[in-house]
Amino acid sequence: MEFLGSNWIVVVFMVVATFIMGFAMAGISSVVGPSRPNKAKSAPYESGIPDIKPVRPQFTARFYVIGMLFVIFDLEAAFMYPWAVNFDVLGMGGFVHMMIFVSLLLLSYVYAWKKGALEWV
Amino acid sequence: MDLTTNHFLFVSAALFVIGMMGVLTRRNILIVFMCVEMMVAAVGISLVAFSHETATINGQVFFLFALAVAAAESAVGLAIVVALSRQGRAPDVEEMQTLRN
Amino acid sequence: MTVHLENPDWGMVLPQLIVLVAAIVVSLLDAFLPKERHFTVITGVTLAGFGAAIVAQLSQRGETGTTFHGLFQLDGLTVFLNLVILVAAVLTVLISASYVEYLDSKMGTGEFYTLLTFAVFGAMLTASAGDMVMLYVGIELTSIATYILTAFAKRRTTALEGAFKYFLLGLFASAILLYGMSWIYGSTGSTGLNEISASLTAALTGSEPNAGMILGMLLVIVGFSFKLAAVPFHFWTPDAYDGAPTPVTGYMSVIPKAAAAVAMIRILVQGLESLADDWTMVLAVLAFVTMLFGNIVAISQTDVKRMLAYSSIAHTGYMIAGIAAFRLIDGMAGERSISSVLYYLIAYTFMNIGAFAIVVWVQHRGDGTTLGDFAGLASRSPLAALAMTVFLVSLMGIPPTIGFYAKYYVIVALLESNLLWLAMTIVMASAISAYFYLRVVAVMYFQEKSEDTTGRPIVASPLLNLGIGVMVVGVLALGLFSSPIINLANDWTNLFSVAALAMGR
Repeated sequence: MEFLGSNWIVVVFMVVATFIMGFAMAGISSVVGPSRPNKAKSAPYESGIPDIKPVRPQFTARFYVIGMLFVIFDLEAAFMYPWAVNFDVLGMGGFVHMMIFVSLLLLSYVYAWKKGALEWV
Repeated sequence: MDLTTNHFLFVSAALFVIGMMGVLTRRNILIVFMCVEMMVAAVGISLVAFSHETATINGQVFFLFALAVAAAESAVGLAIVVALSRQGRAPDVEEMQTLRN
Repeated sequence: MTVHLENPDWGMVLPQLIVLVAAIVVSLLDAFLPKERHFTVITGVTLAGFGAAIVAQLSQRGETGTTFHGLFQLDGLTVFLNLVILVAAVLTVLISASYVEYLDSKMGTGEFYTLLTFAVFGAMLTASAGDMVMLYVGIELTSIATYILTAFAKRRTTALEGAFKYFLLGLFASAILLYGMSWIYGSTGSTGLNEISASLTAALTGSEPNAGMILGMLLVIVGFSFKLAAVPFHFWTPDAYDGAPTPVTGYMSVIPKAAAAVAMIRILVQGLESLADDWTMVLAVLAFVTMLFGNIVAISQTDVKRMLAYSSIAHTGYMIAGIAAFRLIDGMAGERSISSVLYYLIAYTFMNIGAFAIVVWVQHRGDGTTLGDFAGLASRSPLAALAMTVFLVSLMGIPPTIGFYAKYYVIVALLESNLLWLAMTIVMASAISAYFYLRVVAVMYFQEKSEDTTGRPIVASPLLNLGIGVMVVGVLALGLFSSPIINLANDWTNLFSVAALAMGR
């Protein structure tokens, strides 16, 4: 590849340099830096404020289930953009392919529904 | 100064290594997830840059699929965190020490 | 302007389609069927799906071709690997049926088989990928389903912890793998394996490989080493294997590993064949470290499940050694290297799932998985002890079992490629491994259990016994009649390189 020809060495140098830099920063701070852990510092919330109650989900678990479903179905929509943009040139074949995809999504929706994942109890 | 493909590759490499350092040093599970997502996004930059440079569409298509995979992975990760917190355990990497050697 | 969409050849993807349809049907049955009929119906449908896929796959032997714009390819390697994966899937269903229903906080049968079928589908996609995009999607589908299966007994602390470690490192590995693929794509201008190969061959005539290609190659090898659990990227393995439900451990040690191995063969052998001088070196070193480390650490384990986890790391080493034998000598590739790896995968499927099946069997009596729980197994149930002995002897590599021939073919391939030192390492590693495998046998036959549990009822379904029986027969018969299989593997891998030659160059 032409663009890599003379310049790739710079890229590789950059990769090596970033690795060295990253590891050096973490390494030096762990060797040189003082380490005096206390309860507040090593709490999972790194703000240093001590936990006043046991770590529990702040939201109801339902929220997470809906969140997961959203993340998945949301991204499947990304596959429709290239098709929608080229709708006129792809013609019937493209339509059929996309309908297969959408019907598979529909099946997974039915599954999630029937499993009760969408109910907000 | 003109922007060339190499500049994008620099950004991508730097982001990738920063994400990697985060995975290796952070203790909070959710932050570790975010770092991994950052690594995937960094690869996305390089894929799109390569796609532009080689004048082929494959890289962009590849990234679309990689994004969908990353979304599925983050859903699974979230599920594991929820299950952990139901057992009353903190989302902390160093707490994971029941199993040893 | 209208873009012509290629009309895909559905017949070529028939086995994969069957498994996909089975997965969808199982998931819908899980949602709609009343709970009490889950066990019979869903186990039946899953087995029927895998069986139909095996038949469809067998009817495709000898055919070659590509479809879906080259995303998908059919050749000898595809057929062989898909058959191995499907057989492993059937064996997994046989050994997990009653475990899923009755043990380990009673996991949901429907969800378990849905995930298993999707994982198998992903592995089959990997085996038949002709493009890095398909390869990545397939291997991730397998991995994601496996993360969830590992965490399946979600009330057990160890299950979640093992799954968590596996998940985190798996995610990390797939990001590295993706970065490597992006570099390969960037320096060759294509994601199709045959195009990559053609572009590399053209670029490398008379010039050194550029650093982009080497970087991509190294990153891809690191990514696959994580997935294969090769030292020094094995940290997740013991914990994940220990935490997972035992049938899942058996499955994990075979199907995702086979998928990662075939993905490695596809990318390195089919795509980056011109760089074989470089990657065989790296793989040889990886194999050396993996074999020795896995076997040495396994010695100090007191839990049979953990011991088998380290032993599976060691077996990864033998397989990588087989791929490393693909070294070019005077421009000729090691001919037997790929077929020896394929044979190893078959052997490994039978003997490793077998060993885990006996652990499952012991757990059905309410015992644990430590060495102490295996004490006196011979007097309590002679047949189970005998079967376990057969599997362990095979894992050790003693004739006439299948494990011996598997190692033998790898060693032959290594000797043909002048990798004498690696062949010596295999022999040495097997000698070390004899200690911890034979210790289990000794404990089973010569020690007495402190607590008598003979009277406890066993609720194992007949499927488990059937599965163990099939695997004992397989370990012995496929060992004794190893030459037809290795010849088949040889023919089919030749077919694979012929197909690649015809299409790529």
